[in-house]
Amino acid sequence: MERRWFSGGNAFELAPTAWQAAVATEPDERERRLAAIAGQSMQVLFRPAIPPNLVERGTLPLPGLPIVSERGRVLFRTALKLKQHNADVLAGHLLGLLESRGLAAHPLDWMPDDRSPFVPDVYLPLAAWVAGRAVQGPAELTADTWGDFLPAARRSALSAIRANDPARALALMTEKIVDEPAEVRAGLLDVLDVGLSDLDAPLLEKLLSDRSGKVRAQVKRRLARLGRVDVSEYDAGLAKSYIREGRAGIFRRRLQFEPLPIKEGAETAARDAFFRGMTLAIVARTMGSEDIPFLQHWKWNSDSECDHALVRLVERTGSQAAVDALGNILLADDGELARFVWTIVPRLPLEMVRRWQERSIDDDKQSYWGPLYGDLRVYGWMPAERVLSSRAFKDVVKACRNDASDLSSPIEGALMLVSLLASAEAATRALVELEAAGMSPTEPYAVIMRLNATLTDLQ
Amino acid sequence: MDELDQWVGDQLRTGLDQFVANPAERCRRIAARMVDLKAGALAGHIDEMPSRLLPLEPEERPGAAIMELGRLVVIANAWRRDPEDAEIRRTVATTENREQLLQDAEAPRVDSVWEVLGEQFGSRRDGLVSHATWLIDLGSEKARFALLLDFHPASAGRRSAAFVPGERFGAEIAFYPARSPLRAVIVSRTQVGDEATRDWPAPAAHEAVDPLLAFADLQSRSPWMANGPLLLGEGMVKETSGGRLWWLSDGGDAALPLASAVPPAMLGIRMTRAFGIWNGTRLDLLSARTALGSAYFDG
Repeated sequence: MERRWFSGGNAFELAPTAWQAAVATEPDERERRLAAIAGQSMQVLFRPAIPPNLVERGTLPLPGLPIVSERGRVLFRTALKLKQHNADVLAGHLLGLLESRGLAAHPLDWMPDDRSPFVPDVYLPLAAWVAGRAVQGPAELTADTWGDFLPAARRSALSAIRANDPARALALMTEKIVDEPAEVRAGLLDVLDVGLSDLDAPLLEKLLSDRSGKVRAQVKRRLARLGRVDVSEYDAGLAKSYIREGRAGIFRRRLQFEPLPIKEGAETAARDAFFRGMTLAIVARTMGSEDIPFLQHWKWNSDSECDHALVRLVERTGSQAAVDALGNILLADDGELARFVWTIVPRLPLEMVRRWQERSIDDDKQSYWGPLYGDLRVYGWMPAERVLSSRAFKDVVKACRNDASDLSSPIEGALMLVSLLASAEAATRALVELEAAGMSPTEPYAVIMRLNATLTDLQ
Repeated sequence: MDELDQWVGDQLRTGLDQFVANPAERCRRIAARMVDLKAGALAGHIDEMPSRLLPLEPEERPGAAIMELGRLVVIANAWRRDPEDAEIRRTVATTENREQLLQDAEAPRVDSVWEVLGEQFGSRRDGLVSHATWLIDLGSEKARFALLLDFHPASAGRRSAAFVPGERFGAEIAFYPARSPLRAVIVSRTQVGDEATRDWPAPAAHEAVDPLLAFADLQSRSPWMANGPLLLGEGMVKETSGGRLWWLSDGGDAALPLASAVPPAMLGIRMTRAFGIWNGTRLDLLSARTALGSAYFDG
């Protein structure tokens, strides 16, 4: 009947006898009635045929930490939908907050990308399931088992080996890294940052001719930190076109490196290009100094763009000691230098990251969104007294008192920042104050604070 | 209704291959006539027919078109038989407003604890967005559902949700009188009793084996109904090698194709219960109880 109607025409003679008897005799009417019977029969009597090609996926494993409560799940899902510049970064913040309380996201709310080399260890079993791999991977990463590991699991295992036996990790990478895709090759180079030494130089120099520009850039950064990047004498000499050595202080005895004034935009671009092509050690040496003294004698706050170019240079090419020294300089500054810290946060010791976070929630000169653009690294730790007395929190309270129905973007950033840093107790007390100040019960950016406060229940 | 009959006959006579190839234009014309004839609800139903047919696989469309056209014949005949029937009047013309419903002594009322099972949003050709919120009665031993239906202009954007899936609340609910009452309004919020800690009721034993029996029962009472709620028993979501998703019962006796994607993790999580809306060809899975807690999906 379906085929007859499909091509057009009467299907009466094809109908079951009982149906023929049930419909009227007038041809048009009986076709309509047959369609009604056939339509309802398909819905009532027929059942979808079970497809033969169903794929067996196996039971989903659990993440490596207890899953957040049902209440926390609702808030986590809502928070994931907040408007932010980068959904992956937002997810990273929320996962960091959960992990700081010993919890993991529910796999129905967040699942890792099995192809990424940057899946947190907690979610590696889920990444393996997504990839259709055995959840319990091989116990030990060796050259023979290398291919059995997912990129993120391999990176995690390699990091663990590097921490205890750097030479073995280096040997594994030397043997295997060239066969990996570019994204994975670039990600694996981070592993070398723990205990980076001259022993790593042969591998890095071999990868200088890598076909991926991203890999080459990562390699150059590490060679620069080892002082193994050479530039021509002419290029290095350009440092003196942008920096001058002088003397400061009442008796002009204090050495000082000062950015030379820039007249045009084109000169700024040329100076940025110069810094991008240099290493900290070479610039310092050209100016007759060494990396850490050069930073200590730099005249900060005279040219903000040049300051930032120097900070980026240190992040990219500075030794760990130089990064630490720069962190101390920036954090000790009463002016605007602290806003450059987020550039070097990935390389700072955690103690310094905490100091930076405390500065960030107190600095009225910066956008509160700035720190949120990258990995905050430490979440959910700040005591209530510190959070509630911060400028960021007071700005939010003030905004709620003025117009609780419409928070501006900077205030939303402030609320998100303190929500991610606050301890559970701080979050609970902050919510009380915000609600007393008239914060709208449906304020979307308060959801992270609510999530933070909810996590206490599981402690 | 004679014009509608004539139109259905024309589609059968000229061939469903033509109809399923371009249903929009044909449906728009007859829907406009239904508007002229003050059959607004039926016009909306016809206008949205292409959006129900076109997402289907090409080989499924003729069968689905027969269901759709057959339903129109049923509606036309039911209207002729009793145009005063409240349920058929809602299907063809208009629905009573809230005040009329609350004054209707025949409207059944249920005071219980309800859980929000999920929401469905739909864009209508008249520029309105339909917002369906499905509730389950936690105080009932048998599965009882309520549908709260709201409309707002698409230009107003997506409204902030009045309910959150998973939310539980006490309320007296008034159902629009019908053979199988589903559509309802909240009369008043009430105190939450012990039912708040209850889980969903289990599906009836025969429906756990054959979930579509519930839809068949609904159809036998109100054959003009296009959609119906299903409470499913133990099962899993599985994927075919071609990437199509199905709900499959634990025993492997029943399988229902899904209307839309679910989180990938659902392919590895066993469901102890699930709730969805069956439209005759696809299941819109809205929520589930799983071994790892509750799951709610965007409708």
